[in-house]
Amino acid sequence: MSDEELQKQFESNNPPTGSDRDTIAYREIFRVVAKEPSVTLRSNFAESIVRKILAKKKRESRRDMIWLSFGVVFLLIGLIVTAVVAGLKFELGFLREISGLLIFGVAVILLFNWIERRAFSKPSSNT
Amino acid sequence: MIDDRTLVKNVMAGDMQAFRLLIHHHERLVAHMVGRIVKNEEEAEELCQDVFMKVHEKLGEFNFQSKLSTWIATIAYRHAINHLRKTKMTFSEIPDEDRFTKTFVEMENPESKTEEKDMDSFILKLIDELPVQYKTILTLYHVQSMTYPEICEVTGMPEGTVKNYLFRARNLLKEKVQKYLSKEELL
Repeated sequence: MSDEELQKQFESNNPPTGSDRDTIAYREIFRVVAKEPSVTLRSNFAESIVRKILAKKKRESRRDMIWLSFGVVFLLIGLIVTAVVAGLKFELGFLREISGLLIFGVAVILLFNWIERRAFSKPSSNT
Repeated sequence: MIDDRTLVKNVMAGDMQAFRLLIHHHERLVAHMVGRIVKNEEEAEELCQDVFMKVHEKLGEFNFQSKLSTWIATIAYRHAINHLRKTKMTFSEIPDEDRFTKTFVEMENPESKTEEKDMDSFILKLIDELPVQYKTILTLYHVQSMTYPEICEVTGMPEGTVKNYLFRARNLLKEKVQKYLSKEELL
């Protein structure tokens, strides 16, 4: 029997029972290759990955905050420089006329923010 | 038992308990894949951790076109191969068939170096000496019981190549085992 035929037979549910050298060798091989290799992962393997992911998220969040702060600062500097160079004068008297609308707008934004935090906060099991 | 779809959905929603469960379900698969390719235990464990970090990062891209285990095995295989390439460890691409067969069959038997006489250790050592692609396919087929299309997805090889490598790997092992058995008979 050819090697190919022998291998196919060992893969089937009816492996050959012969005692020729090829069959004996393949029998040993098919028995050993199916054995699970020994695995030595630490007992806290999953826990250490979760810790790494949470630490990474924290780092990324801090980095985002830093970039946001930079953005706000540069925006303000740009605004001031533009105002100075262009000689703009700020006339904010109109705000008094729409103060009610302004307060309403801020309140709605804060309310939405609060609802979003309540509704989409992560489950407590996430740490 | 929780199904893959629910598990992925929960992980995507930020549930780290679900991710712990995902790790427990697949850690042996990843450890087998990486462990076959990278022999240093510390390095292998570090790589296994990196694989799961990547799984967490890319889980949003998983589209359920295949089994979750196949997708994770693909990440593990590529990660381990990239590691070998980066560290320039002995990464043997599939060698010239005739030359490799001759060298492999004629080289000194591992048991004569270590004086280990039992067949299991002997064959496991022989598997370690096979090219990376051969031993990966052997592991996926025999240990993980993956189908040919699944192995193709993990390794990126065509089905014909997978079948050929599997046949050649077992054939090479047979040549060595026969030599070993003949020696035993002489003793």
